[in-house]
Amino acid sequence: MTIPPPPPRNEPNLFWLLAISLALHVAVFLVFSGVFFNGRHIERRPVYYVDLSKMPVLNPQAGRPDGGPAPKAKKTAKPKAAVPAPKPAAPPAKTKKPKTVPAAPKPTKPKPTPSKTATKAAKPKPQPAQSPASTGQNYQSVQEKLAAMREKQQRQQELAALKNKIAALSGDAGTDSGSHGSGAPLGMPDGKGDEIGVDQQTWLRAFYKENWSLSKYQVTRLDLEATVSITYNSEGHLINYRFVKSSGDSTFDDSLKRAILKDRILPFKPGRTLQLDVVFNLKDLMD
Amino acid sequence: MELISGAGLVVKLVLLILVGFSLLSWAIIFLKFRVIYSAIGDSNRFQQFFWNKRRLDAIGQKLRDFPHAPTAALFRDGYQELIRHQRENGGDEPGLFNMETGQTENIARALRRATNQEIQRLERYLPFLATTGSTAPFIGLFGTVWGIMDSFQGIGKTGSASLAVVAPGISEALVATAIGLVAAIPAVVAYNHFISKVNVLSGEMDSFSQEFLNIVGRMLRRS
Repeated sequence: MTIPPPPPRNEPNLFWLLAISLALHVAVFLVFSGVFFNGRHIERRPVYYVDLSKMPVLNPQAGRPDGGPAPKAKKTAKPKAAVPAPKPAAPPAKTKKPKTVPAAPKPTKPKPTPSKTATKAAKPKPQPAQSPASTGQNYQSVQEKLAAMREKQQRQQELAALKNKIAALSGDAGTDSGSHGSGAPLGMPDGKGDEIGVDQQTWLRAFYKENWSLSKYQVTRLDLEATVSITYNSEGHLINYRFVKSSGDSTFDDSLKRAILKDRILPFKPGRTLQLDVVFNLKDLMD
Repeated sequence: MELISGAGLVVKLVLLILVGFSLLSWAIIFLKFRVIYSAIGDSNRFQQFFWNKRRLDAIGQKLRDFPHAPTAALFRDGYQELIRHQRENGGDEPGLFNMETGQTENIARALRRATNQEIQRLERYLPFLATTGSTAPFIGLFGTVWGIMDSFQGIGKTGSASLAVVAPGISEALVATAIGLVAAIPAVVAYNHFISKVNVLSGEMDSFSQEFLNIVGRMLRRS
């Protein structure tokens, strides 16, 4: 009478379980760090900067919300091109010999190093003034030199004007890429009206963005988006707001409520009941 | 992620320790889950089988079918002790026993030893879960206190106590407590759960030992 030997107990290996545990921790970390969500492609809408000091209008004209007065860069560019232009025409035409002759050696007058060679070069100045009419050859050569100088000066001015034009054009291109004040007329891209300014919805979106704030430490995910339906009466008083689509993140939703409720009365009177559905995107708000 | 990367060296070290605790405690949770639940399953099946059979030798031949049952291990040790005494006292026929009444003590000791071995096997690594559950929050708290100390030093240097200056440091420091709790809570829950299951199995083993001794006693009286 014997008993068979005890069977081996197939207990799982602790090291394998440790590897599974590690994989589980990594997965949880990735989920909470938002790696799976951040990589998702989010369609970026064009961003317009709205000047909140200018009140919105009912029927905006065609243009850009970030249009308005010409930028400073342009103002500085244009005068540069305008100022040098009259210079060349005026002096050479009226003056004949005595004024233009001393003009030539001017650049050879280096102030910081008044060397002997420079003084020597300056000495011949009075010589042509002594007898301009007596020697016809001298007069001829001076005239030729003068003509060459004028031509050179004119070319330089043309070059400067062209450079200014290029600078102005490149300045426009830079502002068109999304910064303030492009020089385009103030209005809306799809505007069909005749009033100068942006429409009320665009203005309000910029207004909410201005009022919105959320600490970066409270942001856990960047792909949050909520749609809020907001209603103002004709006097600009906030009558109602409700979340059409919540973001799912209470912190973000609360920050939107605060932004909406911060100013219950608008600084302008819409003139009609204004009801709009605003889509708040966390990434856009943080830009 | 920013909270962790922005934390100080000590806080990061604390976080590393806590992650280590969490990793190991989850591995143990998986291990114990498998071991204890297979023990419960096999034990239930073995007890059904045991009470349906009338002969001990027939039960002894089928023990391989219940590899994880602690009661099967008890039966094996008890039955082996019984056979040993039978051989020593010259009994040849299977199922018949020739023992004096006082010698059941040997079988009882064998059963106790087997019970202790099984409980030790079932409770192995469980103290680590208890340690994680009790120390991880304190380790996390240490990281938080250290982080807040650092943060206050920063406030002293900048001379500003605004929320913008205070909040980030405290927020980063609190991550340590949060991770400590994340490591501790599953460990405590699992420890309590597994200990209750081990207690149930321990009770089953005690009951089985008593029943086995009763059966052996009856057999002796009959013989």
